[in-house]
Amino acid sequence: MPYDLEMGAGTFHPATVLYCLGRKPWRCAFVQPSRRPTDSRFGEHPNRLHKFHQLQVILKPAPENFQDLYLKSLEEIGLDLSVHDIRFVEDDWESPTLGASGLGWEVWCDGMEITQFTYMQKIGGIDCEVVAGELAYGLERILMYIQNKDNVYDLDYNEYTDPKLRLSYGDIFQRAEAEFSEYSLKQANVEILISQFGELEQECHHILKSRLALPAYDLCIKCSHLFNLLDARGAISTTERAAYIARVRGMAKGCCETWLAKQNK
Amino acid sequence: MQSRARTSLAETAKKEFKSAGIDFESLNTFVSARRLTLIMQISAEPKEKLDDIVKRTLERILKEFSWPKSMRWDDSSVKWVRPIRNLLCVLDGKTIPIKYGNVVANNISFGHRFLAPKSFFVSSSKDYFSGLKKGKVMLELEERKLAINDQIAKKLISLQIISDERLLEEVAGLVEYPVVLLGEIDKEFLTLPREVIISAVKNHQKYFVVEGKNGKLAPHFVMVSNITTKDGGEEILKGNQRVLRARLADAQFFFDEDRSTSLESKVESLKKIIFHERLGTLFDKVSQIEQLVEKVEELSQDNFSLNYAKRAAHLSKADLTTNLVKEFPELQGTIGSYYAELDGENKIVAEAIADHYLPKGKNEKFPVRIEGAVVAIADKVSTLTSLFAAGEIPTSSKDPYSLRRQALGIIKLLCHFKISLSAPKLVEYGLALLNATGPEILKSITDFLFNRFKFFLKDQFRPDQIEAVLVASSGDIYSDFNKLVCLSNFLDSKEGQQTFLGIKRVLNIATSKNLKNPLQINEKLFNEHEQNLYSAILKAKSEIHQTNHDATLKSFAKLAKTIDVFFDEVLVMDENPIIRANRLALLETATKLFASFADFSVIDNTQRC
Repeated sequence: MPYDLEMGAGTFHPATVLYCLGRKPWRCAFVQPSRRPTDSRFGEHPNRLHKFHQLQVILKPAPENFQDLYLKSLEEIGLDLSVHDIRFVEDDWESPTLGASGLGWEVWCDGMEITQFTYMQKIGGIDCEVVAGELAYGLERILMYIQNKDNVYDLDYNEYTDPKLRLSYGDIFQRAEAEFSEYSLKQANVEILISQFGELEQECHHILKSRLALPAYDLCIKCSHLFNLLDARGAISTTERAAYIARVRGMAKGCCETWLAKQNK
Repeated sequence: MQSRARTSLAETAKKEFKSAGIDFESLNTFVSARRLTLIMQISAEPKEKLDDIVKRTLERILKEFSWPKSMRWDDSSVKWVRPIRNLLCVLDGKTIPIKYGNVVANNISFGHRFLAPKSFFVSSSKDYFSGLKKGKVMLELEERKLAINDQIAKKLISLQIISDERLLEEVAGLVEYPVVLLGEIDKEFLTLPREVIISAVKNHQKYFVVEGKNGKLAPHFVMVSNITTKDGGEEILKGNQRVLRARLADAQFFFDEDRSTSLESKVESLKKIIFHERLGTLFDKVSQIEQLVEKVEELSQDNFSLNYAKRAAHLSKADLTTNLVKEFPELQGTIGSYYAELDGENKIVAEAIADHYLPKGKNEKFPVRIEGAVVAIADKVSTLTSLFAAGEIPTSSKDPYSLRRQALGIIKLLCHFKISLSAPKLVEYGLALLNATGPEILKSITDFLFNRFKFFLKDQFRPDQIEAVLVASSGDIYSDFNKLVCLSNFLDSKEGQQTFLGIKRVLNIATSKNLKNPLQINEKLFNEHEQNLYSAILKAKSEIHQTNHDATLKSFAKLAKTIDVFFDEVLVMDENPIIRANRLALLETATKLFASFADFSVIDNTQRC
C-alpha cells in the first residue's frame, strides 16, 4: 500500500528505508504518489508534475536476473522492446536527506528516464547488510509510451468509449497541478513552514528517545516535505540548504538506528 | 570512464603478469557499456603450470582493480563497478574457471542485449571477435566512433553537426551497436537563446546539434540509438523528440516567466542569496564589483567606457535569480546577457555580462572587449579578497572555491588586455571594501597571486629570468609580463648578450665588495673614463621607461658599451682607498640602476651558447 504522507519518492516509504536495512529478506511492490514541489509547472508542462506516481518494487536480496526480470516487466505491461531504444545509463544514486546511496542505472526509453534501477548500498548512513534491488518506475512516463501520447494530461485514464464518461489524466489532475503549483511556488507561507519544520524535528528527536522508530520516521518524512516546499519557494540559500539537508539526514539516521536496534534484538 | 578503465586494466594486467613471470607478445583491452575484455598472447611457457598462474593472476587483477566507485550486489561481498553477470576465460581453447565472488568463469559470451541476446561458445579470440560481430556488438570504441561519424555524414546533406569529440566519445560509450537517427526540433523553439537550445540538446539529451551551412541552428538534431528496428527507428525518434520538446517547453516556460520582470529589477533579489555565511549576500558582492571596476579605471588609466563596465557589473549576477539559470546553471552570464539586450541595454553591457566569467579553465576564450575584462577582473578580485577575508584560504590539497583558477584568471586577463596596474593596490582596495584591511592578509593574497603568476610564467620563460624580473617587481603584473617578453628577446640577441656581460662585470665587482656604508660619489676625483661612465649612467637613468621596456633595454645597451671601455681603461681596485671607494660608489650607482629593472645577478648565463 502507498504510504499516507507526502513524500518525494517511493524510496521514502518505510517499506524501503527501514525494511531494506537488516538481514531479513523482503519483497514488495506498491504505487507511491510522489510530490516534487520544485517540479511544479502549473499544469502546463507535457511531462513534469508536482505530483506523479511511482511503482516501487523492492527485491531483497537482489536477484541474479534482476535486469532480465525488469525488461520482462516492461514487455508485460505492453512496451515493445523491439521498437524502442532501452538504455541502462550508469548512475550513482544518492539521497543526501536520507543519507542513502546506491549504484545502478537510470533506465532510458527513447531518451526519457522511465525507471531508477538501484542496488542499495547505504541507508541512514548505515551499510546495507543484504543488498536490496530497488525499481522505481515512473508510471506516467511509461504510460505515455504505451498509449503513444505526447502530453501527460492527454493520457486516457479509464478507457471508456463513451466520450461523456471518458476521463483523461488532465480531467483528474490538471487543476490540482495548477493549484499546488501556485501554492508551492508562490503562496506557501515561509515562516509557517520554517516553524513547522523546527517543531516536527524537535518532536522527532523526542520520540526517538522513546525508541519509537516508525512514528519518529513519520515526522522525518514530514520534515523532508517541508524542506522541499521551502526549496520550491526559493526561501533557502545554498549554504542554508546544506544545513537543512543535514538536519533531515540526522533524523533519518536516528530512525534507522532505532529501527535496527529493535530488529536485531 | 571507459577510456580510463581501459588503460587502467591494461596497466594492471601488464604489471601483474610480469610480476607473475609470464611473458606476453601482445596485450589488448576493450571496454564497452556491458563488457570489459582483456586479450593476450603469451609467448613463453613458465616453469610452473601456466593455467594455475593465469588463474591466480586474473583473480588478483579482479580483486585489486579499483573503480572510482564500486558496489556490492550479492552475499559474496565482492565489489565491482556494476554486478558481474558472466565471466568468460579461455586459454588455448580450454576454460580457466577463475572465480570472483559467486561467479565462475565459463566459455560463453553474449551478443547485443536486444539484437542478439543468445550466448555463443568461445574457444579462441577469433571466436570471440566473430561471435560479437555476428552478435551486433562493436567491441572497439574507435570502431563505434567511426561508425557514428560515417552514418552522420550519410544522413546530413546540406546540414552539418557541431562536431564535439567529448560528446562523440560519451555517446559511443553508451551503445554497443550505434544507429544514427535524425530528429526534428519544433521551429517555434528556435527563438530561444542559441546556447539554451545547445545545452538542452547536447548536455541534457546527449544529442548532436545540427546547423546549416550559414552557421544558424537547424530545426534538427542527431541522436545515436543502440538498436535497429523494423520501423526504421520511427518510434525511437518519436519518443526522443517528445523528450526534447518537453525540455524546450520547460526552457520556454522559464524564459517567459523570467522575462515578466526586467533584469534590473532582479538585482534586488540578490539580497536574498547568501554568497558566503561570513560574507553577506550576492547583492553585497555586486556592489564590491562595481567599486572595484571604478578602482581598476583609476589605477590603470586605461581607455574604456566606465559607464558601460559599471552597468555590466551592476547586472552581472542578476541572472542567478532566474529560472533559466537554475535549470541550466552552465549558462550563467549568457542568460543575463540575453535578458539585458532584450531589456534594451547597450550591446557592450550585454556582452560584458556574458564575458565576465571568462576565462574559464583551460579554455582560453577571453572577453570580447575590455569592458568585459574589467568586470571579470573586478569579480575575481572580489572573490579572492572576500574568501581570504573569510578564512577560506586554499591549501595544497583543498581549493573548494577554485581560488587558484580565479587568480590565474586575473593574471591572464591583465596580460591579454595589457592592463597596467598595481595588483597590491587593487587587492588592498578590495579588502578595504570588506573592512578587512591589514598588512598580513594583504601580503597573503598578493603572495598567492604572484605564486600563480610564477606558475603562469613558467611555461613561457626561463626560471632564472622569471626570478630576475619578479624580484624587481613593482606589483604590476602586465608590466612584469611585458618586461619578461622584452628581456628574453633582448637576451637572445647578440646586442643583448654583450650588454648582459657588461652588466655582469659591474655586478661582480659591486657584489664581491659588499660595502656596508652607502658611498658618496665625489665627481672631483673622476678621470675622463670615470666621468664618461657617470654621465652615461645618468643618461640611462633618465631614459628608464616605466612601460616601454624595450627602450630601457636599449639605453642599457648603450651604457654597456661605456662600461666596457671603463673596465678596459680603469682598475677599480686602486691602491688609494679614497679613489677605490669612489670607483666602487660609481659602480654602485650602475648596480642600483640595473636592479631597478631586474635582478641580473640571478640570470644564469651558462645555459646560453
